[in-house]
Amino acid sequence: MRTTVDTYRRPSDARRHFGQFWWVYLLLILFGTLMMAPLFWLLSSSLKTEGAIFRLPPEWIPNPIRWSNYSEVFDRIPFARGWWNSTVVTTLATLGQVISAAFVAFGFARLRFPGRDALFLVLIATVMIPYHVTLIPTYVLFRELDWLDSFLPLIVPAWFGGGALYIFLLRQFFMRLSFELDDAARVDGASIWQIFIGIVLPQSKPALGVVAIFSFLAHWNDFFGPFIYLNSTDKYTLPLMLRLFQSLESTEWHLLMAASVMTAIPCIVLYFVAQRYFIQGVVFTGLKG
Amino acid sequence: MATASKTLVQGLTTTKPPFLNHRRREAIGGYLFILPWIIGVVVFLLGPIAASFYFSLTNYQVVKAPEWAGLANYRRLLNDDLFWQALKVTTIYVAISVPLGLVLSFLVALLMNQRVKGIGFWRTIFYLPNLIPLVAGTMLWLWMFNPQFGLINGFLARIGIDGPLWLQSQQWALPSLIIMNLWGVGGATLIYLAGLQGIPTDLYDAVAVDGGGAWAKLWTITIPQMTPVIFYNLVLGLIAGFQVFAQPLILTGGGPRYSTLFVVLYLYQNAFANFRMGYASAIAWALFLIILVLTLIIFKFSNAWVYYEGDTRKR
Amino acid sequence: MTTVGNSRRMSRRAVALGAAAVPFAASAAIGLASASAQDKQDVRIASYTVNDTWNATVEEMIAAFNAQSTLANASIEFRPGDQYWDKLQTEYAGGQAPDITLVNSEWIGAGASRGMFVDLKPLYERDQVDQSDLWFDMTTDWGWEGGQYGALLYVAGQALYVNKDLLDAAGEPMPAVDWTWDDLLESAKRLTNEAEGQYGIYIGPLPPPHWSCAFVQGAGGAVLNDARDECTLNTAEARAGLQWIVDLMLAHKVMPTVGATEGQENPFLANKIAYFFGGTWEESAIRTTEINWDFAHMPAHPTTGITSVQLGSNAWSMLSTTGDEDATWEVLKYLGGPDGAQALVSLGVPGFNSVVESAEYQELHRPQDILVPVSDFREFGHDYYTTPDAAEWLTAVVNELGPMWTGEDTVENSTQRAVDRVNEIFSMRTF
Repeated sequence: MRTTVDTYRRPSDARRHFGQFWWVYLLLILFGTLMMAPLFWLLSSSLKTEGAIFRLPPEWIPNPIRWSNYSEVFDRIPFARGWWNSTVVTTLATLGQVISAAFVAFGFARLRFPGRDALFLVLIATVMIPYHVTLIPTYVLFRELDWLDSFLPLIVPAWFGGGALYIFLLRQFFMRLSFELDDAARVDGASIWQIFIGIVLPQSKPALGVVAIFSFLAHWNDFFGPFIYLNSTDKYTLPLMLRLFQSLESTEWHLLMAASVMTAIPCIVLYFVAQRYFIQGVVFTGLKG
Repeated sequence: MATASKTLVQGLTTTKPPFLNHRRREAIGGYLFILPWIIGVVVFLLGPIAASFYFSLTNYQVVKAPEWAGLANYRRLLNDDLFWQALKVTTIYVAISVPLGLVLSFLVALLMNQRVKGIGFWRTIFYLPNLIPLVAGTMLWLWMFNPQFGLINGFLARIGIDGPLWLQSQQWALPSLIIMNLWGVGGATLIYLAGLQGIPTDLYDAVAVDGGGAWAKLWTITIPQMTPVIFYNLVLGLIAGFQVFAQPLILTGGGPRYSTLFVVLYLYQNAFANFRMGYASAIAWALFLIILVLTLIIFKFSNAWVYYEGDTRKR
Repeated sequence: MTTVGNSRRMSRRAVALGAAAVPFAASAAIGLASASAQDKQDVRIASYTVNDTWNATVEEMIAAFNAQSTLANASIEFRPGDQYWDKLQTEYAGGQAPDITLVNSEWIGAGASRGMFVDLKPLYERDQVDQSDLWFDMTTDWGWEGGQYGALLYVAGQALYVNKDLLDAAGEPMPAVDWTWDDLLESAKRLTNEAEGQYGIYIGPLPPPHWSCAFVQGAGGAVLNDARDECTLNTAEARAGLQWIVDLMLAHKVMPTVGATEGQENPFLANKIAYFFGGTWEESAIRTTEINWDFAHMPAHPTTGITSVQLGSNAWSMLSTTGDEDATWEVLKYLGGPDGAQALVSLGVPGFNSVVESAEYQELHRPQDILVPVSDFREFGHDYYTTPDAAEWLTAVVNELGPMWTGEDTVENSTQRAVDRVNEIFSMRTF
């Protein structure tokens, strides 16, 4: 995508650009600082000794800097194992949610069938019940299926429309697309499937990207699901391992912060890469790929 | 289609008009496409949801079998002052934070959609609070809101204001949670950004040709085109807002003096700490009803203000 | 086939069968022998995680048990403490609970009264296990309707840590054994320097069931009545005790306010507190600092003369869904007996006199004298107010007393509201 910022030739171009957009930069820096504060504090705490984290008045730059917190985390919990477990669960679950959400949303958005709107309301209604009251019956269900202490309860529901809100989101996006191309394709004899794959999906990359990012984050940081269904420590995902630094009476904050940084880094990297691919920040016509 | 035209050309009539055949095929296709979800609901959701409704009609102490109690839980609900307090807290929270979040995230999305250098970097910065594990983030907030040494009161002191007790004060605990929630605007912003992508540039060009400036473009093109996405964020904000649970659990435990007792927190306490799973289920279903009614109202009114580009043919 | 061939074939067959039978017989014999050795029942133990050393020590102890047991093969699962109780209940409801779990004073009443745990008293009596060596009374917190539902792990309670450096700098002597609240207050005033953020006293955690209870009791009151069916925080004595603490923060200003300490590090560790009323579990954190500290005895109330120390404990309980009760009981006997207590001696205050008085235990806490707080426990220890609805009424009390600590509301109003709410909860009891 060609943007105006790529084609500076003369200094006066740059001056004109900043002259027009100075306020944007100002706002970005202002809000950006506010947004960065949590991460900076997290990084800072992860390099402090335990007592120093809560020192009053608070210090932003640790003194001394303890890199050893990170190696200690590796000694204390099987981090590599946790990374692997989290990766497996998250990747498979995200894939399932994106794919099944795309299918189901397409059905609700572009196809007409009796009871469609009623079923759509049922879809939304299913997320209105807090999970605490369905937890025990769900647990019993998974016990009957003999899926306890495995990744299956965390992955399989995702492949069967398990992300109702993602379906809702994609349905909204699919409904924004005009039907011109669809109708043209239909006259040419295209099937519904071909319209789905060839027309609707390619125009929905930003929306699919957003669903993928959200789903990835939700599964990567999910504590309660793995907590309830996993028993063996060698199957623990990262959020579970993080909680092992918190006992009922005290918490080893410096290690917890270091482990949190290590847990957050894959997300940050992935997000940075993904959003550049899916969300380009330049408006383009709806008909171009 | 090809079959239909063939028969017409040959002058033969078919007993079934091709028009019905197409409709039927589309309907079958529709059911097929949503089949994964149907299976998921039947297998994973139907049983547990029905069970939770059954529990609401029992005294269920979790570690003992449920005992039938009829409508006793629901009757108790009507007289329970803690439940109404929780409902009040949750409603105030939703009424303030949802519109605030909606507007703020929209503005931020517009900001991020500008053609500035390194916009990818900025977009990552704004999403950072959502990328940090919850347990680390909440510690930061406890620290920032500390009345004596926290950053927020420190900043207020520098401009001459004596900051309140924040999370320890009955008046300020809920506002603290609302402020905290604003840090998570990155999620809604992302959705808006994705939505801004799909607006055809020729629409903006048309406005420019007619002499319209930035405001005209915003009001006549951007916002109407974005209504499906705004609608989504509104419904999502409502549903999520009513089910807020983790932050009050970690930060305040519902206090001080129940000023941050959210409905789902109260439900959770009843379910697992107080051995009143039946009552908790009744609370869940009452909450469900409230959210459902509000959502239906929003859906009903959506026809008036939500515009779908793909809405050009009879639905 | 000829008959001759037949008989030869048959005899060959017989030999073949016989030959084949030998390895079968042999393996059957071996099988029988190994079966009795390997017929150990698997016993699952679940525990919330405490810290690294804790986990390693417990695992060592379990390995030692397995080595000497012929009946049971124990294994342990360490889980995050955060929602431990939720998961345990879910597993129990789903029929997947472990055989043994670690339990604390808040949960035991709930589980015992609802049949989640097995009454161990018949088992103690059947095997004639001698519990006379225990100084900690297992029938108050761990009893229900005359039974006993836990095998003690250790006791934890309220200790008084004194910062000797700060006392020396101000010329204060160490507290006398029979000192009173008045002495404490006077001394604290001399040790407080608000400008430098130094305070005489810090009590943490405050709300019931923690250390404010000791002051309520010292003033002659109690949180609940003896029958544990009524909240008595609104008596004059209870209010006096609570008022005394509130005054420390808001009137005399010898204790940091709740606002200052919330979410912050324990100020004693930052060398800012002279007298710290804290849990025995804080000791290991204090040892990591450079502070020159010691234990001191609890002060007595100046008029009632009562000294009170609040206690809590952890014990192992047997889940009623356990597969093999005998095997599980064998593990439990070990865990809760002197062997288990000796192995875990570094982790808390043992309940057995012989272990407490052992040199090994006291050496762990040198140069301080651990018997100072432990003797207070034995003489003045108060139980946890265990009830089957502990979680519910404790949450109510914490909530209703909240505004009192910050001065947003008076002690009178807060305690009255707490009493009303707790009595309302008690009125809904079904047991």
